[in-house]
Amino acid sequence: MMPDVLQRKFAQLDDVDPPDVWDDVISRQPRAVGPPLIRRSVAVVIALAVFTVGGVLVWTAFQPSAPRRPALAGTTTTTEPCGESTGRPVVTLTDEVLFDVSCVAVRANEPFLLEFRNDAAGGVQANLAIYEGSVGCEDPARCPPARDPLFRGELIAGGQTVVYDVPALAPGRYVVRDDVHPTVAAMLLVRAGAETSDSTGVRTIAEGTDPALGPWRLYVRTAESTEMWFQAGRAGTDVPLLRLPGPIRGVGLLRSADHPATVHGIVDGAVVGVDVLSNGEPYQAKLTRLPDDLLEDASFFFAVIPERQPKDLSAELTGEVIAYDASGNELDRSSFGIDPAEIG
Amino acid sequence: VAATATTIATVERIYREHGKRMWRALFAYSHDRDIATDALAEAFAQLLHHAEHVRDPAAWAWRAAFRIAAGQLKERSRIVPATPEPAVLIEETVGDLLPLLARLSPKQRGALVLHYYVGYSVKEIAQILGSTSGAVKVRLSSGRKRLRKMLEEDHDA
Repeated sequence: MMPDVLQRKFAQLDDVDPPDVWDDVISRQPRAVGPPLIRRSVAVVIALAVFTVGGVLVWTAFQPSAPRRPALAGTTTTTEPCGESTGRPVVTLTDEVLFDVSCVAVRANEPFLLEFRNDAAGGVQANLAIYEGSVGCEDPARCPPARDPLFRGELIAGGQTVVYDVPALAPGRYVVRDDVHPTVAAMLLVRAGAETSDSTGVRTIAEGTDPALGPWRLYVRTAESTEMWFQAGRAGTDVPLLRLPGPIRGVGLLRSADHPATVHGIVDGAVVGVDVLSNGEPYQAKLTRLPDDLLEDASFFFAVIPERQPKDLSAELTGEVIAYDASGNELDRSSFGIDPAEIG
Repeated sequence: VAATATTIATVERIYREHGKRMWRALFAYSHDRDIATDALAEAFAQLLHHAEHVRDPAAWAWRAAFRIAAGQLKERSRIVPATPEPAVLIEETVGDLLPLLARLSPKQRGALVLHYYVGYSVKEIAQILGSTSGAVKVRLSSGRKRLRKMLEEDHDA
């Protein structure tokens, strides 16, 4: 069949009269799930990173049976799209029932005032509540977007303003949400003060306890936060994970079922990758650039390779990549398979 | 962040330019008016909230709409087997094309519709469907073969 014949066939579609949905576009509140973010190329690279470092690091860390630590337990990023607040942070609910900010920053370990202006039309009630996010949760498939609030502010009607007195929070990344409109949320970045960072610039971003390893932590070492390290309880397991040319943007968890190992992967403004020790020798997985739309919307991601994978790359490598926004909502979930020919 | 008046105007212009064609493509892809309508509205609603950070809003909307529709198709298939709209309704509306497309896989349908109706290149289709150029080429080829065979069978009958 000639292509122009098909084009004429498909031109039949022009006879269909579509509805006009613009009014719906304007009035609807977008669902939490967003557009496609993970592309196959990214999945391939992430999977390759997992595959190449499989069996290398932290053998039983982060297994699903491991105790679930508080979700944010110090997890944070070093650069976020919210500046340091000089006065008391203000969040406004606009007349379109959206927050006017995507992120607010406060200092850790000290109470703070949080001003909430409800400018929603029609006297709509709203509030601010603070939740632990799911950045650090162990199983991405079961990360809830919100749990019991760490703080819940009183409801106020549209046109009113309130100043909440919020108790001190540990360093990390949290979610500020309007409980009346739970899809309306912003990130609360609780930055560590000097007391939580030593003189060498070491800053813990995630930590926990593993039955086999004992206490572990993931930390950045330099003042510029461009090096990430993993430290476990046993001697000799304090290893560098990443050295990035730019600021760290987010934290991911890369899990391999074949090799009972899990490593953290990092996303920054341009690069994702892993840099680990393999049998005591430095081993660097290939780094690559992330697509811009992923960087725009996804704060972190997980790559999961649930099946036993071939070690000789002779068969297809399969897995799943999941992207999350800053609130822990799943943005995209993509299964992928890697043809050996693509690995080259 | 609330959409500004400028953003709304920009997104509406894109909607007026692409919306009808996008809906028809979504309908041919999903065989479901409700899915096509919801995917179109949801994609543009999300674009309103992301437009200031998107480099190519039209491409973004196409990608979002098809992925939303794909997600709904997948969700629906988990609940009940795929049930295309009644053939008689489709035939009355757009001749013999949609009943034939209904016999293809959704991935083949998506590739064919975006290529032969919308005019996208293989690379662009891969971006919209979240696939690879190689996979799209395969689906175009296999979809063309099946369509040709079905048309020949219809002609013989």
